[in-house]
Amino acid sequence: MTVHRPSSLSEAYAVKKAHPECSYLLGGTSVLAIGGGETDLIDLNRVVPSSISEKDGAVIIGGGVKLEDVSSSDAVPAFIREAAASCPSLQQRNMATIGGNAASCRADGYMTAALLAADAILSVYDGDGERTVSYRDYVSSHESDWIIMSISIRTGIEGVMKRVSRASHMHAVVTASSCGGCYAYTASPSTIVWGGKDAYRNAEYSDDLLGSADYKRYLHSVIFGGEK
Amino acid sequence: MIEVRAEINGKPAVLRGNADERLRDVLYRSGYSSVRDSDDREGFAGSDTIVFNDRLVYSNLILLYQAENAVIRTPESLLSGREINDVQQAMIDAGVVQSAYNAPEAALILTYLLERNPEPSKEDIKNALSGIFIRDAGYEHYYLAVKLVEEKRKYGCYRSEIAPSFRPSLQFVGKPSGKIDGKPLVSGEKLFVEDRVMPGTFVLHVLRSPFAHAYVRSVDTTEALKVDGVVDIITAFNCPDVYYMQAGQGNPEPSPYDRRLINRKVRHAGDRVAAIIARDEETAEKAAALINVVYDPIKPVLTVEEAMADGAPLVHNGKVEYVSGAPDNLDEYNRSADPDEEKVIYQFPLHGDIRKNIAAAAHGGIGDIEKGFEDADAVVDETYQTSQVQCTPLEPHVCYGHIEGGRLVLNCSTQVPYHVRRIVSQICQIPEHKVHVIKERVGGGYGSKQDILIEDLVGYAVWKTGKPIYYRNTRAEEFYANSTRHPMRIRVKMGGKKDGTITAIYMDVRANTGPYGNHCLTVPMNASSKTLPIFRVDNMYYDLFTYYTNTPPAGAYQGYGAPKGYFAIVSAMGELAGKLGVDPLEMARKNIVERGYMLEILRGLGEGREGTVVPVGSCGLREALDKGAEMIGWGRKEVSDDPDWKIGKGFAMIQQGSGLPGLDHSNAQVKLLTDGTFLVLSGGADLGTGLDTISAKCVAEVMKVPFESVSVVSGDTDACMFDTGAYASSGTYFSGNASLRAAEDLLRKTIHEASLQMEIPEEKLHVEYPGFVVSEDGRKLSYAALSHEATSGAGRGQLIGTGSFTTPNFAVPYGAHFAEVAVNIRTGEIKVRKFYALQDAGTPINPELALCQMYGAVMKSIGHTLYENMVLDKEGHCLTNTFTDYGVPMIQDAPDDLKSVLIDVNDEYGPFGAKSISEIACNGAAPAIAMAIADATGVWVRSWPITGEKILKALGKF
Repeated sequence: MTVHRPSSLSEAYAVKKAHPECSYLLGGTSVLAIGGGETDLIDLNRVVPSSISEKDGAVIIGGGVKLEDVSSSDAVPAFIREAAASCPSLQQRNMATIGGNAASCRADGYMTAALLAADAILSVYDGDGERTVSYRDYVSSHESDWIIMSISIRTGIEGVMKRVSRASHMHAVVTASSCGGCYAYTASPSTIVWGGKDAYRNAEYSDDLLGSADYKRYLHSVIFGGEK
Repeated sequence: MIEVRAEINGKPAVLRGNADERLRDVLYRSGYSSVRDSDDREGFAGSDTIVFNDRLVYSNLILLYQAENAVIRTPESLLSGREINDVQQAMIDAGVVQSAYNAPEAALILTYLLERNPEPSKEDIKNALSGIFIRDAGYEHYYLAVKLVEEKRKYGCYRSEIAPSFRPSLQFVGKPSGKIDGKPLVSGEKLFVEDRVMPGTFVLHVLRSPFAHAYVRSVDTTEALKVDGVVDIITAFNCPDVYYMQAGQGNPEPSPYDRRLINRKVRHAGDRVAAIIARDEETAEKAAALINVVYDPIKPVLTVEEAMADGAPLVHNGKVEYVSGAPDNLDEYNRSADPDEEKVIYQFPLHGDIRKNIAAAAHGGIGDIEKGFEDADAVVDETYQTSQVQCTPLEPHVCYGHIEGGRLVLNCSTQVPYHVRRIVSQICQIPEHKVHVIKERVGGGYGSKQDILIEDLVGYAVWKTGKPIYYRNTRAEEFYANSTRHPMRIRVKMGGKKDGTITAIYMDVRANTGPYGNHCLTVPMNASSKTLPIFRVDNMYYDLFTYYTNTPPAGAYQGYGAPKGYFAIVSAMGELAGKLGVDPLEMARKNIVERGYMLEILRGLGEGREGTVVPVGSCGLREALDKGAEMIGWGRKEVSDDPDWKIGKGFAMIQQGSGLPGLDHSNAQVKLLTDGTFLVLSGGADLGTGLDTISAKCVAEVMKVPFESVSVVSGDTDACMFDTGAYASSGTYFSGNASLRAAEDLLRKTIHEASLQMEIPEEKLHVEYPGFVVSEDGRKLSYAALSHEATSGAGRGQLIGTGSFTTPNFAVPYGAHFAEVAVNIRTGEIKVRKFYALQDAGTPINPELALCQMYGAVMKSIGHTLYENMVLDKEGHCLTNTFTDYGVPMIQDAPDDLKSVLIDVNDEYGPFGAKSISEIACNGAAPAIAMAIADATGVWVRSWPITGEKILKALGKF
């Protein structure tokens, strides 16, 4: 395994362009874990911020901030903290980053639904410089070359985070989050939708190890108090 | 190769390795050997936990270069010289240091927690331990350990009761005293097999089958053998033509010899195809890629139903032989045998019919079953399905072998060192004296290390090549190429009267033994033989068929077949009670056995032979039921404030055994050393459960010496005498009784020797604490002086006590488990709110360890009831090869209120009245939880795992 250790964003991006098979490395809980792909890596830890700050009515969470720090920050809206805390292992939370979690866009990701519902804004580096993009657009386009610098969430927003899994450390069967009238739904293996409360109705579900498509659709239909 | 500078445990250190090497591997290699690996970099089990720049992290998920200038703490930092810290001591005292593979990491985590928060709440402790998987002792006494530390720091002593004490007249037995090997285990000493591996050791890599069922037509190793660093490659075409089986059972085994080291037909995805012995793993993998195998695939058989079907592909279709009891038509039977397949050799008839995929069968019962059903006011007839689950020991299967003095030495993590010796010597075709098996500390067994799953191959490879070889299963191999619980389909027909009397029980057990017949009769037999005898019912009958399939192998798992049997039979009783309108607890009370009841049913429950009818002995069953009912508030309906959450209660009455009377055999010796202290040589295999501590307590109690005056060596086939091994809940009853008899023998010899030295008649002598022979007139002779004289040039020689234990007598543990469960009928979420395990273990010799084993077993069985499941695809490949996908219970999954209670019963046959403890504790959760869910929701879920999806479906939600 080759690990590239760029000292600047432009260098990191250039490596990725030159070696598209490389994966970005932040916390390592995905790419260094079994099943992580055993690919060559680009270590972003020197170039991605890892602090939490507040500016213009928003909390700015550096891409390198650990989930444990997200979950314990008073500046972060409660349901976002709850999403970070849904990573059930303290060691994992001490290593996994919000940037890495957001970038993965996984349907069973800890942060995916909450960031979608919160309409989080990403600051990304796309080769030409730093720019902002909504997380919803990022998930839609999933530009895996982009480097997530930070995630901006409006302060003071209130929301709800739900996660259903069979055992505490198993992957989520479904997650769902709502905030300000936006509802986000995810289901393993690859269902991610957002919109109104009935957004799940247009989603495609699949059977997998965690449950049937019908089960997941049903869970989404009742998770916010729909019909029984 | 790079050098990384870091601060480790407060001192500057230089770590050397490749930049992309895992920090865990480098730390272990650099001498921080407490940092272990249980999950192959999954970031789950926490055996690799360290403090890294002031945070708890998994060192397996950090690359070496990332440690530059890091401040690192490993569990070694907790030691002052050889002294452990107060957290480690409290963990020993609380009883949580058992197999202890990641106990040092747990100690590090709790030390870290208490440094930051001297008075943590239960939630704080739960959060701290959220990233560490404990399989042996459960999580409950970790809270106690923290409390003990707090008390010691505040008051200078513990104030909480650790565990109840039993038998006031005894000094050590029945008292929580800590484990004899607790300190070395919790401090992270080099005690496990991996710690024995010497530099220059070769690796063994197994090339495994991608097909679940296929003939191996050829294996071309020509190119692979050319790879520099490859020593040898073993295949079906050059391995010994020796038939055996991998289950470590008494000889002759009640399982067929249906395999060779590597077979010409693969029978599960992951079956052995070739074993490469090479300089290192990289070389072995390179060679494996160059091996050309020609397979001839066959349709796999993946379920009992498929195996039973007319025209089903046959998993075994070779020639059948019998060592004894061959049927008269054997020649005719073998006419259709496939010459391309291995033989199946039965040691004695198990009533198998491999031409129908039947590995074994049995039938038996008492009374008139049909009349029993005719007499019933109501009958239920339901089928219950259990799934394939894995023992998941934190230390995977591991073996290190080398040649020393012309003998084969195997360092093993095994429950059965003497069966390893026998089977390996058979495969190598050498006498047993040429094989030395050393049982190291076992980082979790739970039955899976009762089978010789890797020692056979490693032993032969070492003997053939002369090279030292180390092999370790990957975590994925632990799932698909290891032993698992036999999945079973059990039909129970039960009839009863309106007054709650059960009139008849019929069990139809269909078990799946997978590709080979390890335990194919005995595990499924347990589904009936450990359940029917708990009922005082006149008409009972069972049919049992075990089928070969192409699923991952099955074998022993704590509880054996009983957890499946109890799930079915107690669920059926609950359903029958519902149909009759009777309280299931009252039905249980009306139909359970009591002391003195003659167990006629046992006649038909012998394992391949006629069973012995005995009366029920010591029995705490009724007391367990009564006490448990009171604790859980049986009959009182709990109602949640949230209408979506429904609450229900359930229970199960349970039993197990204590070893196998008539089959098991244990031996021990106790030596009086020249300074008056003692060394026990026990054949028993301590798996971390405290068997060595039991041996030490037997000696301390009988010889009246401090516990600290006794050391124990066990499970070393050179040093110790024969023992059938640690399985079937035999440890305390058999190996413990052997140690007790050895101690009693030594006591007799000591009195005799003292009589000669003191010139006082034996009847006027006795022994007194702390280690004296004392005469009626008060004269004293210390053991040290006595031993010195005995071993002097003029003496009569060293005093050695010898004990051997076999028995026809049963010491049956009983118990009752109660569960309170909440089910969200909107989302299907299930919470086990309360779980009370009450068990009669006779005299609990190590009560704190006994309690923790009950907690551990309860958590395992909650796991197999609600979460754990091996899922195969249509081709037979296991899809759940990680802890996360498979679903083991972690601390967050433990019931909010979990209690283990020891029912005080004194057994007449066990050592100091003791019976077994831990296997039985796996039997209650599934039926108790299933009943509680039915109570809460009105629906019975009759298959493992009981999931939210199944409940919602049964409720008609989607």
